[in-house]
Amino acid sequence: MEPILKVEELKVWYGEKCKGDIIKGVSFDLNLGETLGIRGRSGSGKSTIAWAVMGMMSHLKGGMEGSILLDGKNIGNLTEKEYKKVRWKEIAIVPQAAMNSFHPMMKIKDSIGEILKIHCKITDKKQMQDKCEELMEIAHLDKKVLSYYPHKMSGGMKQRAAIAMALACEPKLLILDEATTGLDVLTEAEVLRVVKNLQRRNNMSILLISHDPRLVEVLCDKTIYIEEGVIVDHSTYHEADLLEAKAV
Amino acid sequence: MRKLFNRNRKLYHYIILIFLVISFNFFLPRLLPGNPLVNIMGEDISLLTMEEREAVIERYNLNDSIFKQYTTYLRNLVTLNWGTSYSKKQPISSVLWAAAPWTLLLAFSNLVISTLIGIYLGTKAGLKRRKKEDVYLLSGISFISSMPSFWLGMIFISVFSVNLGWFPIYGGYSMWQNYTGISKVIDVLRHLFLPLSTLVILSISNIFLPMRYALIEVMGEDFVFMAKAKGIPQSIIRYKYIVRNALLPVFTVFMLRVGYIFSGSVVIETVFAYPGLGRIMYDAISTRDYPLIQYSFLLISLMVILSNYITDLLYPLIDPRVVNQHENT
Repeated sequence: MEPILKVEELKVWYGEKCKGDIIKGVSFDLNLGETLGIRGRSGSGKSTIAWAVMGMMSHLKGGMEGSILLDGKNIGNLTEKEYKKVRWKEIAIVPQAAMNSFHPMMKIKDSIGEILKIHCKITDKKQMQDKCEELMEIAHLDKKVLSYYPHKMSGGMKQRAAIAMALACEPKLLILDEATTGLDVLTEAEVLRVVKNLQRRNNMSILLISHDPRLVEVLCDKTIYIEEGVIVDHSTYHEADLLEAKAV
Repeated sequence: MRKLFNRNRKLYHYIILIFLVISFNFFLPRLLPGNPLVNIMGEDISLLTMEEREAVIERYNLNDSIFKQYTTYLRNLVTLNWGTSYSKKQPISSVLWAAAPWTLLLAFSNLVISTLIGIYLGTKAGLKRRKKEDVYLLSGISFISSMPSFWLGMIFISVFSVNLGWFPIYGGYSMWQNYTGISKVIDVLRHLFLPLSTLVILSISNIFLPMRYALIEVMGEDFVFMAKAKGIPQSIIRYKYIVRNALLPVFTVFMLRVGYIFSGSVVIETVFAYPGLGRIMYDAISTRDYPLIQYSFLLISLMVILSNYITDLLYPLIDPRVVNQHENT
């Protein structure tokens, strides 16, 4: 079976290439409907991989080398204009800072509606409202949240709204970059249950970036552990976790 | 009842503030050392006979108790019976009302034009941060705004009025011509052009700088980066995400400038002998026409309070987060 995402010899850097790579030749693949966990300590380059897959390195004043094959097509060498057709339609992300990722002066309905209008070409108001309500239901949010401004929502609500927004165009690949960090245990469990149900429903692939081995163990089919931009382990629990557990 | 009070709390604050300003306007001149007749009549006091002095004391109710003077002052304030300007020999309300439209024409045109230009150039510079365009605009506007207003005004008069003869040297209209209709409008606009251009050139930085800084700050926000990650077209990100959010602090600056609309062009009105409130104030200060100074300042203070109140009313309409804060308090 052809993997939905195949990353080969990915090298990523910020600023000038000569200053050294943050990601130093990483390769992995992810099959349809599977979840791949990317683990590592803070600063190891986990989120950098996510943004490289999203084609956002030029916006972060960086660059990349290597190939990123999405459904067999190399998206690593697309131009910004071409990448815009891939983003959100085929790959969507729930970032670490999901809570700050909404336009502060737009209601949730308008933020999701904007995505639907641009990527799914839905312009009919009734159709848009129905789709927004469906997404709220999927994310286990009340319909009235659609008329909320981001500042009126709690962290958990924003996180789920960010997931709803990421799923608006039913992408093939969903990247969850520490998407539940900062949430309390109950909300985290609720958010993850929503994501898992959606994966089953849409046969979607997930790239789960987390520093928490328990999460990865429960949700992922396979794992890679990154250290200083290199894959050092493929097991769920890395040496560092075992040492940490011993210390506790 | 409590809910009603909370909803109108800001209005009550402003009403109290207006009352305090009006009261200060009454009490401050009375705290001045020396003979109150000097404050009212200025240097002319030495020319008055005893009977004339008595008449002035009688006219201004200076023999009454402070409380009675205060109530009379409040009544006169409401009925626009503000007394007489001794330098202009006219009722103060007539002097101020005659000058206000000229200042409004000059200051309001400047406010609108300089704000639009400031926003446009601030956006252009902010979006091209640290590039040639930004460096030229920032240094050029900073240089221009550091010029003294009277100096630039005089240069304009010297070049465009005296040497080239394109525009009139002074005034708000041609006093010796009986223009009517469209000729009158053209005449007023010709007189307006030089003072307005001077003011606009010097005022652009008031909007340009906050717009540029706000834009740069907004461009670094997470929601702008996420908009790019969502594949939202550049033009929508630029205007709906960046410019719209950057306009919030600019709106505050704009409304502060509205507050100073009556007093912001004193120097330019004086240089161009423009018949507005600025010039009236300048004349009043140079002739120590205290009653006129007193009411001019009162008008400015009330305008500042009014514009702050309007800002408070409008802000929730453009930034929904403010409504929430207000509701929470």
